[in-house]
Amino acid sequence: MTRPGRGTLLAALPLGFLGLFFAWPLALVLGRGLGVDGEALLAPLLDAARDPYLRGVAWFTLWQALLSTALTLAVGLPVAGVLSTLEFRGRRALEAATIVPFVLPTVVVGSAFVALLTRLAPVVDLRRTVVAILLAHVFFNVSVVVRTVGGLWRHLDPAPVLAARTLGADRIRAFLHVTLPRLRPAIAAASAVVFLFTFTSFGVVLILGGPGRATLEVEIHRATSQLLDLRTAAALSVLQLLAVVATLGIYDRTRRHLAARPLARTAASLRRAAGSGDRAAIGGAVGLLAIVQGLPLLALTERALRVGDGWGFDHFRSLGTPTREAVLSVAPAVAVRNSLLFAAAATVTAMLIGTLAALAAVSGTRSGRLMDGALMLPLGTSAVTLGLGLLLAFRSGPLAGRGSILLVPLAQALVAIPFVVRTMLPVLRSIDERLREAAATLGAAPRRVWREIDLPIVSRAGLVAAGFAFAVTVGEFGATVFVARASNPTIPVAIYRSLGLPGQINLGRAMALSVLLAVITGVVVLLIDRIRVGSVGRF
Amino acid sequence: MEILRTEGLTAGYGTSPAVISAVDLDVRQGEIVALLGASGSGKSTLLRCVAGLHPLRSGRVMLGGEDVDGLAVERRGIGLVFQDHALFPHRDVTGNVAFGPRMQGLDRATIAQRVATALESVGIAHLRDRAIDELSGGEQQRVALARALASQPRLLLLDEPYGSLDRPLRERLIAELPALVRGADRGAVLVTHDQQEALRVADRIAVLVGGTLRQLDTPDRIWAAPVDAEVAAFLDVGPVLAAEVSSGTARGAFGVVPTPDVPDGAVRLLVPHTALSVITSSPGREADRDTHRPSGRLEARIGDVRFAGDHHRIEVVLGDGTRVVLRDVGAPTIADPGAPVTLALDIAAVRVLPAQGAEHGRLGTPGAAGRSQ
Repeated sequence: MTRPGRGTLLAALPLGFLGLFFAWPLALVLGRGLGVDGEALLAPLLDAARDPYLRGVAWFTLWQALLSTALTLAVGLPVAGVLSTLEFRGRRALEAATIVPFVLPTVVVGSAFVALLTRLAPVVDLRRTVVAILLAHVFFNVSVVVRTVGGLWRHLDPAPVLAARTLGADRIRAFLHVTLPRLRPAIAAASAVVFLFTFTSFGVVLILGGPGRATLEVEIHRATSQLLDLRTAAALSVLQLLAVVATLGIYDRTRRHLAARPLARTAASLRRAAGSGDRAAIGGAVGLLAIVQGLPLLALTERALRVGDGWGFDHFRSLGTPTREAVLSVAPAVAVRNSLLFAAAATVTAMLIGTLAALAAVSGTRSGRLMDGALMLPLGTSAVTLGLGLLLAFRSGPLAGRGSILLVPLAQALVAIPFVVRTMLPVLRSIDERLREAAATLGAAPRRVWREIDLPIVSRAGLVAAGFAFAVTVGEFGATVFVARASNPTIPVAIYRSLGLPGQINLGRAMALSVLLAVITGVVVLLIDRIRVGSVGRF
Repeated sequence: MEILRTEGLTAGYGTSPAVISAVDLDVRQGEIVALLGASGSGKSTLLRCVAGLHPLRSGRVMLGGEDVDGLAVERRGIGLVFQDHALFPHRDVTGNVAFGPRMQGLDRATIAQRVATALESVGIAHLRDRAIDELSGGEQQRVALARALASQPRLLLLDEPYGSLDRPLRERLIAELPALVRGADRGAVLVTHDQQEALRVADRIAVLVGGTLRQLDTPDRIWAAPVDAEVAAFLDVGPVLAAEVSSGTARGAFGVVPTPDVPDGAVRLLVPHTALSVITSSPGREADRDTHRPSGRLEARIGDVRFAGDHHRIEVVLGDGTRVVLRDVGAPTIADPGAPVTLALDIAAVRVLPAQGAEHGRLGTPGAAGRSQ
């Protein structure tokens, strides 16, 4: 088969899948939101814009995202500086620790802050305040700043700083006038990503914000599930999508800037920490991380293990039985089973579609290039919009009613596909054509070349991609909460519901489930880290 | 027996002009042919065409007397050693070397034996279980060679296999190469841009200039009689200068050189390095100078003297201002730029080459078409 033929064939399934389960639902949301459904164009958007409450929601979404971004930078930059310029005992462990919060599901973060703020309540009650949301956002996103800015920082050629020092600049002025300007593209990229994450924040705001404090995402959910106002939900989705597209545009520009920067080829060697200044810097970084990231996780674990005035695994044991106090219609253990099954199904689906899409994208054909662009779209669409779209698209038909159980893994797969593609694509692109040629001259026919060269190299990336997909899907909340039926909750959905119920037992169960989910995610991410080679699978 | 023959081989990329055109090349059993040329002369493209990795625009490739048009690369029975080795990073040394025999469907025992023999022949049997990224550049190069040899190909193609190695290692591997690749029923093509490498390793050298095969001959004959100025210059046989032939005598910057069988017109004269040497620095003899004497002496001025290890590079300025670089193996008797100098010229060694743009091989060289078989 010729290459173009193969490329088209590879692209057919992913394009069909994305067309049916992503493009069509998204088109329905856009149609509803823009008012092409038999009413004046833009009428739903204009109606939403005239509503003072919704204007307030939009304004809150914007300013909390901006403030969250600024706070995240304030915490992340000093930590990035310490981790990428100083060598000290425990540096690697600290670096690894900054990543943990980023891979935790949003509901776990929400639970952790509920636990922390409840504990702090006698001293200062921050429950259901903006501060809680902001803190949780910082907790989540510090690793984005540390990774993005630190990555560049470590590869900056140290010569210009030394030159500045010989020309009379002290450390601070050398940093301000030489290092900081060179870090600007990375800071801009990190800011764009953090803004994007916090602007579309859902789970954290839903759990920590309380009534009257909603982002667009939360309002879309509320309009859909409580008010059944799909028209407003769609209009807000359109608004949200516009903001996301604009942010992605900025991100793309800064990324290109980053790629164009000349860097030292290997990481500059770290300076061994010496003197009180360095020790203070390290102490500050460790302290910041301990407060922002360590305390909430500690509080979560503590709350999950606290039973009355003592300690024990009672909350974990109680997960197997639905109790009278807990009004949950099914035992939390069912949610665990559901989560694992749905995540497994979603991972398989995402791997199939994502791998085929990545293969099509590297085939160099027109459908491959189309694929390349099409794959960017789900990245920019929020999980809540995705969930809303699926709901609009499949309210009737084979996926409605009983079949709706299939919608959960489908929605989760859609969220995971970009992760799979972004892990596989660089590896597929990096396979040197000469390796294939070498195999061919040694007697391997094209199929054998694929089996002997491409497959073994890609399979490692495949394992990493599958791990990521599983970690993402098992903790997925935004899309799942739309399509999961009450009788078939996943762990994140069960945690959210338990948190909404009164009573210490429900809270304890939510905490136990959160710890369980954190452990599952943590184990998967640790496994990924073990099999990861070089930069494969780094984000 | 002929292992490889190309006839009128022409190839290029996209719609741009051909990179190689009308190349006729042959490699015989037990022979190493060096494909010598500057960067961009089409050497690697020629190799890729032979291997079946690049399509031909016209011409044909014959392997063992058979036209291999349409024969897939994996069925050509060729061993190709890539410039940067192209070792499989996901397999260890044994995995790389065993790849070819495995593709041939051999049984385990035979594969193991092939691997052992190949690794032993290149002297790295002790590295058999090592990962590729643990090897040095020289070791990787040996693995690449062993991998190609283990398939027992009838034709071995080596694409600048030493390009990325440091000089001492290069020297050592070059010395080893002939014994390794020369098989009783095998032929080899070594692509290189290094004249010394070609001269030392090859049974015959094919010189590619601008995508055309200018000369194919044994190293000694090609050295003694390059077909044109470009081949001579690329091999660095010696300075090439313009001259005008009239009634059996060439006149130019080298003075007067008898050229009895050469028709009148413009030519170029090649003076091998060995034919030109410094006699003495001779101040005050400028008045005697007559550059048109058919003697073996030339008066010139020193332009520049550079130490080059086993010789000195002496740039001299001839009477008409032409600058010529010659090699002097003795200790330099002159060091001051501008000083007059007398050169000894072995007139019998001067070769007449066609003037630029003239038909190649028309004059003064054995093998009228620039080839001798």
